[in-house]
Amino acid sequence: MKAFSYKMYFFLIPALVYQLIFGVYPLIYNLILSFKDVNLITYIGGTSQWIGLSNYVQILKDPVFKKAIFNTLIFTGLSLCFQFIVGFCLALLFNRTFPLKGLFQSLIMIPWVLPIMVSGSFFRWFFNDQGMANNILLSWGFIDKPIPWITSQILPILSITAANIWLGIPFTFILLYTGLRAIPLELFESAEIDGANWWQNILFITIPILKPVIITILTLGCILTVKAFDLIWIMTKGGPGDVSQLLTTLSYSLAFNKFHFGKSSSLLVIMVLLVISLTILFNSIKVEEESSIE
Amino acid sequence: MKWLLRTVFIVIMLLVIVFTGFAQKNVTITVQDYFDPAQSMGKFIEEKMVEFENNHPNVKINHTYIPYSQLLPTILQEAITKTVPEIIMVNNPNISQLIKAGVLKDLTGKVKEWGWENWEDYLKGYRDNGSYEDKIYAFQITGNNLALFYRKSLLDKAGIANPPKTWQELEEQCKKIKEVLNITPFAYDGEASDEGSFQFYSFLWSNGGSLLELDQPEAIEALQFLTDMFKKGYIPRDVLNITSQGDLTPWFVNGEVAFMINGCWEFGWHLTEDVMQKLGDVKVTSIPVPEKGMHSINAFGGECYGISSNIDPAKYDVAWEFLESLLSSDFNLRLNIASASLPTRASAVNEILTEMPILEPFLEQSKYALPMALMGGMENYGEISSILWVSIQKAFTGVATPEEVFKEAAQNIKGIFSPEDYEKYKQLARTLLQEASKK
Amino acid sequence: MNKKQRKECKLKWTLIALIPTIIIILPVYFIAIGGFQSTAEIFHRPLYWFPPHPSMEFYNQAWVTLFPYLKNSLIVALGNLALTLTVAVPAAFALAKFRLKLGKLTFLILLFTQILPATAVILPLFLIFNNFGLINNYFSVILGIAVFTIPFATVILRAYIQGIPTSIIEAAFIDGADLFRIFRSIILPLLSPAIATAGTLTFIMAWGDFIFSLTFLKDQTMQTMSIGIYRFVGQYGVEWNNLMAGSMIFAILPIIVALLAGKAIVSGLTAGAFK
Repeated sequence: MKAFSYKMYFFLIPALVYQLIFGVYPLIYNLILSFKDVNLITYIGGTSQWIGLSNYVQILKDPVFKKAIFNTLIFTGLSLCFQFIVGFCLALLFNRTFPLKGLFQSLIMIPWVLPIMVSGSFFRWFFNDQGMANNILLSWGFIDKPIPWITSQILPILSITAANIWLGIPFTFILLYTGLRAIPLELFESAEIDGANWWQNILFITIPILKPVIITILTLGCILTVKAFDLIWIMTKGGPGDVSQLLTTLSYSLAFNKFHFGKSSSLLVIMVLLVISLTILFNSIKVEEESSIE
Repeated sequence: MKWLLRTVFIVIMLLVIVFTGFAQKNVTITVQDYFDPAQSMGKFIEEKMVEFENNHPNVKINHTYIPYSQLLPTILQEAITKTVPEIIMVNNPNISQLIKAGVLKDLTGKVKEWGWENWEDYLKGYRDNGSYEDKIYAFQITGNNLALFYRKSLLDKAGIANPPKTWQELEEQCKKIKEVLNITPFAYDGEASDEGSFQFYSFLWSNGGSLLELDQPEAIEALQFLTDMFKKGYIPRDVLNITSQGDLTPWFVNGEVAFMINGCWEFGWHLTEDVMQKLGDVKVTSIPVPEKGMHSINAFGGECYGISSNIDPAKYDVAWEFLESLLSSDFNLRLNIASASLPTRASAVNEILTEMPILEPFLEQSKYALPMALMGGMENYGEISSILWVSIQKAFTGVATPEEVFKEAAQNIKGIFSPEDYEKYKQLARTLLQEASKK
Repeated sequence: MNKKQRKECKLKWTLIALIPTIIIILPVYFIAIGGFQSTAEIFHRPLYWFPPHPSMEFYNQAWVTLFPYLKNSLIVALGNLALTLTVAVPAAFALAKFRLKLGKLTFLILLFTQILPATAVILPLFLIFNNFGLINNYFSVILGIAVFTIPFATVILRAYIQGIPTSIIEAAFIDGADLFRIFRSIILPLLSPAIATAGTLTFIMAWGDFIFSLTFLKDQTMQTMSIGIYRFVGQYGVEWNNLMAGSMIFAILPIIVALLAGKAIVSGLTAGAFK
């Protein structure tokens, strides 16, 4: 019914117009900046010169860039993976009624609520050479020398990822939980009659029904994780010696430590392109489209 | 008819005069800094604002305080959007960049009226930092530098009578303390920020090194010394990731380290009177030097105030008047005592010793202290500082040797400048260092 | 099973759920007790599992410092929540169930405009808002945060709407109901758990916003609690104990919102139309 299509535009237009003005303009602004040679003086004076792809070429040649891309992929991949697994298990666990459930649920949201300045600092102390993790391992005799969780070369990014997994659990948990609660019980009842066990229920009923929610979690999770900045900055500032730089921290450092605003923006553009490719990947997983209304 | 028109005309003129009079009556000045009024510096500055408002009934002064870490990004954003407040505070290392970017107003004319003797009362380093090409842009109201703090009781326990004067003594004492007390004795800030760079300068400059010539032996020796200390376990590894120099003090207070390199401000912050009484053995001395007979050449820090270059001309005179009231010698002394910072004016330098004798080593070092930005390529100082701290961290974590990291750093630093500029700044740094070494 | 056995059976799940909850909350425990100690005590090695000399002084001080910011945070967060849901819910419905010509484009724009970090977005937005004199106005902060929360909420809600059987909606059309009526009487009730979830996440995001409030609100009395917290992060160092106490205070309201939303999710589903 075409009449409905026409009216539906009213539902859609506010969001579209809003994002076009306030969301697309900053993208274009940064894109333009990435093609200019911008330092502190030219940025403030408005006299930056066009230099085409020069910023991109320089960035791509920088060895720290390779490290940043690699770290970003590891950080994002591992974070999404484990946040999903833990969030899903918790959602399954909480998908029933029991006393104090509401309280526990809201407690589980706390990691997402606390200011990152504080939770990030906690994990930094946890992973310090003389911090909680090493203290526990040493006193139980598992190790005899402190492990340099955030003061070596390979471990820092993994430690930061562990902290990020903790931070993101509430996000996947609450989205999966709400999705689970909407699954009609009859489906499970009829499966039980057919003799399906708990594991098969999950694989063949729960996950297929939750597909739109799962894809959304992966997409939004990917966006939120790739642009994560504060946690890394608080734990290691991208160090020691630039080993834990991600695209976001490198971009910030180029802008506010070195005042290379053009290069910083070109890095952001690269980051946007990276996320776009990843989200296209996720969204190409076809959801059995419930027929849409014509 | 005519008299009606004339009356109307006169009434309109009167109204215009009255209203524009009203409009001119209220001048609003905004002062932006990071001094929280819950603390003494901010409180005193707000008192001055109230005092000024009382004396100038048509003026309103607003105080905007920004979180410390956001000050520079905020100033940048304001400069780009041309919304810089009338009076702004800038942290010492960023002054050169902002002057060159045209953010601050040339105040030379006003200083002339005020009297040159006032400007010349400021110690030379601060004057150099706040001016450019003989024009004056900013006044530094607080100074600071770093010194070696130590816990006498821990030194006594390890059988050490006097604090170290040279690098070698520092290393030997650390070795002894580690053996006897089983602690990592030397807290040195190795974080990936300006504070990490700040800590390095005494070791670099006392040894004759320069930020613009890091591939020279003097610079490499300085890094080698600290790297060896780190690798031998005399410096806690966690210094690589601390939030700021202030994080070293809890370790010091808890007796987990015997030495720390920190600033005079600690006496207004962590090491307050009651803490000092409880501990009873906190002492300070100048930072150890490479060889006997040298003196410690340090970097100085502190905060400066200036006026925005795009200030509304109608507000300029009032803004200057208020700024002038902040610059008075006794007000500065009050600020210095409250924040345990060093006076920036020669006339006030010795007065603080009577109030706070423990600041003596800092004052002594401040005679030779140098401005970071001028020693590091002025408007490119930010980039050079970031190259420095990454190199220090790489050396500490063993990615490469001090020689390798500094050779690479020196090449990168040289590449920032045009050949003429590089020579110019290299010479400037050498000149300043020579002057400081001679004194 | 009689009542007692059922209660025991349910209690078993409480105990099982207690384990992951405690593991997740453990870091929060240390942050909470940090607010009862001095900074030196927090950094003491070995770590104190219980404050040696607990003092209410720091929580008191944090409360006194942060309380004035509470009203501003509420205005910004609730204002943003209202704007976000008003725009996002209808948009999500349109995107989920209708093949509109602009639909795919809109969806892509909604995703891609979220990618930039706030620091990259703040300057261009400041330029726009400054031109309209909106700086120093709660509205600019609400609009600024909405650049991220509107697409965020829309994408989330779209996923849940996709889970509503289209047959219900088509049946209503056949029965002659008009679009707005269907939206109001069928979709919204079915969506209340999803709206509660998206609303909670949106509220938390807005509550925790720092950069928009800092940049757009120059007047000190209008700033939000997330900036108030940063008063403990000063030029001389961080007041860790006050900061930890302050963060716990900061977290109270969003957690209450999460608690209420949790109840809404459960009650919303029992009113569902899945019979």
